[in-house]
Amino acid sequence: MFDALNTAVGEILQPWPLFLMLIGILGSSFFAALPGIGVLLLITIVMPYAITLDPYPAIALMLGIGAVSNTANTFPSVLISVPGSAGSQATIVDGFPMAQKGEAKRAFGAAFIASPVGGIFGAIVLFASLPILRPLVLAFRSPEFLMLVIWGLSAVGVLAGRAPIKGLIAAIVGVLISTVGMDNKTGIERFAFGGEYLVDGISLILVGLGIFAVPEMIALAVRRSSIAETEGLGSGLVQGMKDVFIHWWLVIRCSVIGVWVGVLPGLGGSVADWFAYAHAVQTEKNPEKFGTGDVRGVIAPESSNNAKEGGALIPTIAFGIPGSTSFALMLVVFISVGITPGSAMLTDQLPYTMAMIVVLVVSNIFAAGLAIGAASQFAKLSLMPFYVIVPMTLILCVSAAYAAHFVWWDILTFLGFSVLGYFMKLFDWPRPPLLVAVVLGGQLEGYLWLSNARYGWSWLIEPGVLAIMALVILTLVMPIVRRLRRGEPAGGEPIVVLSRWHRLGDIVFLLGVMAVLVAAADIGTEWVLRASLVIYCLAGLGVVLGIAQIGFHLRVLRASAGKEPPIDLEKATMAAWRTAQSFLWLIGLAAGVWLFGFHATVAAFSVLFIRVYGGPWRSALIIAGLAMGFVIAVFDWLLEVFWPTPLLFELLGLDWLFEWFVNLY
Amino acid sequence: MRTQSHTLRFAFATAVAFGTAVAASPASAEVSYKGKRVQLIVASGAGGGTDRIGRLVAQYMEKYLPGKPTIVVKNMGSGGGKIRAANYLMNKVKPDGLTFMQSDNTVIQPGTLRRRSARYDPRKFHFIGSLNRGGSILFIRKDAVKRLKDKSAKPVIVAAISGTRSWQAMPMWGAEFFGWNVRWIPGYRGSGSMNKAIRQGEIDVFATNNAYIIDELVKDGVVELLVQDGQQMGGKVVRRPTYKSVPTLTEMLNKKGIPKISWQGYRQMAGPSAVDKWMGMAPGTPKAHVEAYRKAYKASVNDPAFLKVARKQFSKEIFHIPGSEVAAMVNEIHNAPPEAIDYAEGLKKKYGLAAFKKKKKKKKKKKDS
Repeated sequence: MFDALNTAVGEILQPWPLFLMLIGILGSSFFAALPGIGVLLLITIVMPYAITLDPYPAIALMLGIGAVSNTANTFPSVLISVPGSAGSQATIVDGFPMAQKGEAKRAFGAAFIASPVGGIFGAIVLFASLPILRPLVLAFRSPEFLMLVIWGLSAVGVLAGRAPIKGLIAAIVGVLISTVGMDNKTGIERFAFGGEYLVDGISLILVGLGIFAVPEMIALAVRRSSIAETEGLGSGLVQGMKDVFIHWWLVIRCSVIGVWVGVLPGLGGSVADWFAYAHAVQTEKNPEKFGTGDVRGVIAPESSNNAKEGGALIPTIAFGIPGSTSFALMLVVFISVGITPGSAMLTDQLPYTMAMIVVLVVSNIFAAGLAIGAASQFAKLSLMPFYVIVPMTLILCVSAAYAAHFVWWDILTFLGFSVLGYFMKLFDWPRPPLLVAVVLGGQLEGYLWLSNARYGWSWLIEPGVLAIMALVILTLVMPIVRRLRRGEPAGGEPIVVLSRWHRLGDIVFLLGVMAVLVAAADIGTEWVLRASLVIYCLAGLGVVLGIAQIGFHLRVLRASAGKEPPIDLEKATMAAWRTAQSFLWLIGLAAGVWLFGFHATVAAFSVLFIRVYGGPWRSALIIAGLAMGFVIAVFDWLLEVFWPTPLLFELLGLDWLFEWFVNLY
Repeated sequence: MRTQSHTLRFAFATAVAFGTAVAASPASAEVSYKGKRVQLIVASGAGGGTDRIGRLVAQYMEKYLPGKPTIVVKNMGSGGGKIRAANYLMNKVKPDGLTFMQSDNTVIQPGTLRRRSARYDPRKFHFIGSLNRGGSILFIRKDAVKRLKDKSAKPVIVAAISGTRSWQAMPMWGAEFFGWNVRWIPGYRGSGSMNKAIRQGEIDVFATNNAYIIDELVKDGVVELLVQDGQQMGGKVVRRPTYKSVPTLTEMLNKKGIPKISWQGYRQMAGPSAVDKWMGMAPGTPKAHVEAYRKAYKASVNDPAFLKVARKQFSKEIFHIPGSEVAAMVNEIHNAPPEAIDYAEGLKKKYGLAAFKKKKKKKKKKKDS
């Protein structure tokens, strides 16, 4: 084993593989930091080249990209509440409030130490589990997976925080979203309405952008300040690094979670960060501090999402079973260059396996160094005025949304989720459960069906299932026990934070959500029961919970009648007007893209926004140039997007003009 | 393509700048794409097999199409994107020779056409050619072999994604005519999850054309190869060269002799996989364009450099089917009487797989197309 390790180190630490690894790391960091444009695209771009390499350089390049795909995506999560990719969504929950407190640098310091520690831990686990690699992967069948999904969903309860019922309803909506598209068991196109767009299902990134990024940007536009509500940023970078060592035990635990999510192909790698976050909230002291800018809320997801990549290598090299599309492509590269994943990876090809481990370790260190170097510069963004941040972020969001499938529907879907996200924030709904449920919902239904179809109900008494079930119960009961011991009420307190008007609005919103659920169930009656059962369950449960929540609201309303302080009408009107303005800007941006095309719109939008809100011409022109440059560099050069002719050009018969324009560069 | 296209664009610009534009060769006198931007629509998400094959071919098409145009690749979603792309090719693409498509066999299955979202007729497409990676091989766990023919034993479990894969014809006709003792469990996500499930013993049977998966399963002693789809060469179904010992279902059915409707039903369901990864153009594209593309495609996929990479990436046995032959195959599949399709869909329903009845609103379909 150590001979193989020696060979691997000797082969990887050569100028050529190291150079390729560095290219991979730089590229990966760049793509990861761009919201919506993940490293998958980078892998697709380098693949034709990678398959012509020798095995060791190929490993260096591919894993250089893969290992650190979750490091730089922290930047947008912390700075502008935009998920850099699916792996950094949980980082937003505490990362963005930290930026608001002027602690962006501290968040970065913590994230960029936690990331490599997790990543290296993943590599060590991979190394240590080599002898049991194959039995490990085979130990989990559909019933065990089902239980793991349920365990994951039990995290929803934790993520719901102070609004448990709304958290559950949000999760139900999330599962409903996950049912959109082709149903694997029946082939029915659920909620596709005879069109093609929804047959693919709804892209997770559209949900993430809509429910996290836009509501925060609207809040910023209403507040009209910079993201950081402080004067300076302080020197938090070192403090953040120290935080990681103070919470070293949390880092280890979350790395383990990350590795496990990675090892289990099909669990959905994009939830590793949420699992880790929920675990932190559940087990750490003072859980009420999470969500308000607690550094532990950044450390937990960041230490898990890089660890995941090491874990994900296990099924890929043990059996050639990739856990994600990225790993499926890496598998193709490995096979093409003569590495054959399977039992030989532990015998003849052991040096290759070792080389992968070495690359994981080295690239994690490199990428973290790179990110730390850039952190101070990026952190300054949080001091920029809102008239710079808001248009930049909205443009980034719209382009990230468009990058999902490159059709207009992507932008419309994103607008829909923005509205949903805004109301969820306004009425104090917990948003993470929705996102987690979107990922796990499909798996819940799928594995439940497979378990039952294959084993009948006997899967319920399988030892593996019982063991995980015990863990689920333990997870659910432990926090209650702990609270009881401390003499707090077991159910937690329903903290009253909503004003009277908000509460009335929430009732209307709840009725709307319930109406959607009932309508969904009605549509479901057209399908066979196998496809519609889950919809009926969701609708039934959702309506019951909705009624309970409305009942709760009504009780509070009656109890507080006449006791509430009068609302500041002037302030409320202003907030409403500013919110409406923000939505108009967003809709204008989308409509502009549709009418005039991306290039002209992003430039005009930046100038208009900045000028209208009193920004100087200089900023306006710089941002417009940056936005245009971004579109040209990323969409035209890198992705070679074929733009549909904007409506206006088409109506005026000016297709040729638009074509000439996009062919300019 | 990517860097190459930039180099080409640059080279072209330089050529024009120095006034040394090369005269078109006589062969391409009719059509030339000089200085044009040609669009390749890939009917899958970035990174999948269809995408990679399309992008690779496109690199060579740039070289072989008359006038050496720049080819821009655009992906159209994944999964359902195949149907979206086929609808787009049918109804939206201008037949000006500046757009072509890379897709796969799913969209030419008659069953797929019965989906609500399908608004196209593959017989109207102009096929440029196709690359076949070798037909699917059906295999069974060694410990389940005995149960396959023994109706008194516990049924052998066949995994399915949603019943849309054409290889499902093998176990279906096996159950119908060779008395196979099988039961289906649809709902798996793809080859990866089925690969794991067969190793775990959760399922007993599935099929793939991926030689790597097949060979690893055989090497590890997990499975035995049962039967294959085979591949169509010159209008005849033959065994895959590297799996010569595995019989094709066509051979078995011929030997057995089955009713005509059932035979037609099998052909229309299994036929599409013999086409595999095809390229095509919009209905109404002028013949000169189609011929130019067919010629360039043939030259591309026979380029030694292309073959070297394609054999590494996709299959050692990858082979070219000319556009005219693809068109003939698609016609054969779709000229099957509706009863034959009903027969196959009926079997799917009988065995618990996703099946589609004939569309009710026929008028609307006509209007759309």
